[in-house]
Amino acid sequence: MLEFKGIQKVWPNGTKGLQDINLKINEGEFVAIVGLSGAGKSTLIRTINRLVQPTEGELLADGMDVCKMNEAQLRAWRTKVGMIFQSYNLVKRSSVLRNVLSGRLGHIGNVRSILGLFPAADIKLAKEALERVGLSEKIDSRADELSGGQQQRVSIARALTQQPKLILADEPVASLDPPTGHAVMNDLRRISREDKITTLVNIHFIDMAQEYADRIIGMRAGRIVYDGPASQVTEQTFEEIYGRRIRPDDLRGNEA
Amino acid sequence: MSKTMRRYQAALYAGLALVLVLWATTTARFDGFSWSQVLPNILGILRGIFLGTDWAYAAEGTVKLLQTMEMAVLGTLIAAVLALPFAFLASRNVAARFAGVGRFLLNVIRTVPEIILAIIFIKGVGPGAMAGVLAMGIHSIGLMGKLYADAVEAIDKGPIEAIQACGGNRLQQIWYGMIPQVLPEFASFVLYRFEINARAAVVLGVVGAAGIGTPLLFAILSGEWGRVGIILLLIVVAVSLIDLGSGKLRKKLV
Amino acid sequence: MSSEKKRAKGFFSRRPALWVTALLLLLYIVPSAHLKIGPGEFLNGENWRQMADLVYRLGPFERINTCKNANLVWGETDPEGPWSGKLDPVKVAAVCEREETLYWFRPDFLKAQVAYVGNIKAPLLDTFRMAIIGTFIGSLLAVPAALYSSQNLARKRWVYLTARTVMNLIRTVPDLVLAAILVGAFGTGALPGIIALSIFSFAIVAKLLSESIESIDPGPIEAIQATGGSWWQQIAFGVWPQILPNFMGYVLYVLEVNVRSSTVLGYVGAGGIGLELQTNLNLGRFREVGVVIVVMLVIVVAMDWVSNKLRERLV
Repeated sequence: MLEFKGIQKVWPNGTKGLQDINLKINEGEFVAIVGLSGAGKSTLIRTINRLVQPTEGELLADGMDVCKMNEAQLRAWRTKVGMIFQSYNLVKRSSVLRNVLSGRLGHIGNVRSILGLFPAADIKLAKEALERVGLSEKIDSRADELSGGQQQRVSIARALTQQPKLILADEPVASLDPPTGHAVMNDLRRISREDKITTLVNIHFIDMAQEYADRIIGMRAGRIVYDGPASQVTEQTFEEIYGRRIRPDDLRGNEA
Repeated sequence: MSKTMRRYQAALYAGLALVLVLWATTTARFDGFSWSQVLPNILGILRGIFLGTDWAYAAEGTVKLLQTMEMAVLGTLIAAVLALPFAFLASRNVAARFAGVGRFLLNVIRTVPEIILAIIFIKGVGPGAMAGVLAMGIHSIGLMGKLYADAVEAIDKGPIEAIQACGGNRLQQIWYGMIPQVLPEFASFVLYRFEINARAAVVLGVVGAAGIGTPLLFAILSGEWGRVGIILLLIVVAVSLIDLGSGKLRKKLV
Repeated sequence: MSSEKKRAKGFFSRRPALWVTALLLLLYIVPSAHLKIGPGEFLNGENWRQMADLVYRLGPFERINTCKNANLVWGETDPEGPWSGKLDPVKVAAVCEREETLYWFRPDFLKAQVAYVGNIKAPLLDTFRMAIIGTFIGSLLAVPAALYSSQNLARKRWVYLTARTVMNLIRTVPDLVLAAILVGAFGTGALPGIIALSIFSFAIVAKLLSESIESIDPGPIEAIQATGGSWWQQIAFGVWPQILPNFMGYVLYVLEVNVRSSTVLGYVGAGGIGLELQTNLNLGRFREVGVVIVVMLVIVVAMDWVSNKLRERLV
């Protein structure tokens, strides 16, 4: 469903963010992208919803080139792509419901959004999404009253409310402790399976990548250096991707 | 900078301050000042204010005080709204390289004292509440715009990116990603400015806008210290209450 | 939390735009209806014309009421103006069909204005004198007051409470009002200004300083206490070094505030350049008023600049 053809990203200061990325992501896959920080993982997934504009190449999504979409097409595409961030990116002072509802903004007009008048169907979607991540109780709490793990679940619910075809998760567990991190990854995988949502997760921890992903993509210095099923990956593969020995902080550890 | 350099510099500034103070104190002349005249004056004023308080004026004074506070509310409100465009123009993350222009404008507005503005507006709309409201409304833009802009510059860009990522347009990014972050802070600045304006409104009354300031000035000029006493009491109570209430609210907001 | 409370919370958090707007409208409508003022006065062109007229006359402009009949421009002019004595005002008024006001830039007025700056040298110096002496006396007195009114140093609770209350009450009285009352006591001149500014500087510095004292590190004080130091020794060696930079910052801040307010205090008779503003305004000498305003603005801007520079050094 997604195809990268010769994608390049050169930052304005001349550093190369991505070089010659050719990649095909299939429908319903759960992909982990691993690599050191600065390897280009974040840049790679941000090109998919064009939060980062590639300098060269084509990115085909359902046959359309994301790089060439106009403003309206891009917004329409973005409504189909849910995104989860390392720092949750919730509006801390708004309620949980309002944060989750913001996932529907791409579907409603300016007047409605300024008045906060979401259609009943959208509110229902948001409530269902919150139920699926187990946070129905917190619907009217302020986002900053929640723990880190709960906030990340709210952001998953926000992505779910979009009814996405694709979820991009940029280091979703980096700010969480090990048990919470595992719970969040479990949620992501469960949702991906149940709804057949293609999911791309940037992750630094090799054990988590192996445990949850179907497929692992390794990146170093803006290039893809490994691509294969998670079952075939060994510690040696990771050492090749990272270009150094595996250290304890590359592992998140087991659940509880 | 070396330690000795620092010492020299500190000594230099201290010396400069000393020279200024010495200049000011030695050259000040107080013509026609004599204790024999001033002392009974002071005693008379204190007696009038504290002992001869004109309680009969309390009701009328309260009405006038209410006018003053209403002027402060309106002036603050006008500034709170008018400061918004200036603030966005003055914040680097919204206006980019035009931010300098915005900051400069805000500084210019802040420089003109309220009293001067009031004098000009009194000429235009005549003495009365309107002149006071306009003077406060314009002058307050300076500080509020600056505080707003600082708050806008300090926001977390994450939520805006999140709205962008799920297909929100520019307006939705601002309304859902930025406004909720800054609104409590804005409200807190508005309250803070209201505390300042509550005092300023009294002063503007002295200059010729409506409210408690006008009878206060007349009472002072005609030496009715009992009336001055009751007016002062009203002002102190009202301003203290406003400070207290607004302080509590502001703590809750942020 | 009870379910009702929760619902109420939900109501407010789900419609923030709605209730904020309602509150703002209420805050606008009620006072403006009561004060009987509306946007009408602001939109009235005549008001704008009058304000513009004042602004022109504050500058080096001559106002000429002319009257256009056919191709002739007639005017009733200023006695010092170019047409003084050449036209008969009565006649002009009689034949005038369409009146028009013109403003002429007059370089000689500008020259007179510049010369006037020299005339107000004495009140100008008075302004600075008032600010400096007020800051000096107020800050000096504020130090012991702050020590007595900080919760962590005060030895008696009632001393702390009364000191705090008195300082808060002083700050509720607007400076211009206090100055006006002091003028009643001491007569016009710099003295009431100095006293008013001293009282204000005292209240502000004492409050800010006592807040800094309350947030200092208690370690050094305890160390001196442990070695058997007296209260004053604790202050001198444990507290003072910690608050000195803050204190200097506050003095600078108060100096800035005082310079600003000393320019206007004269408006109620308390000496300085504000007195000039008031007399000229009452006499209708708008050109001189303009000069005083410009001088005030220059002082404020210069003070801002100086204190910014000094603050950079301080930090």
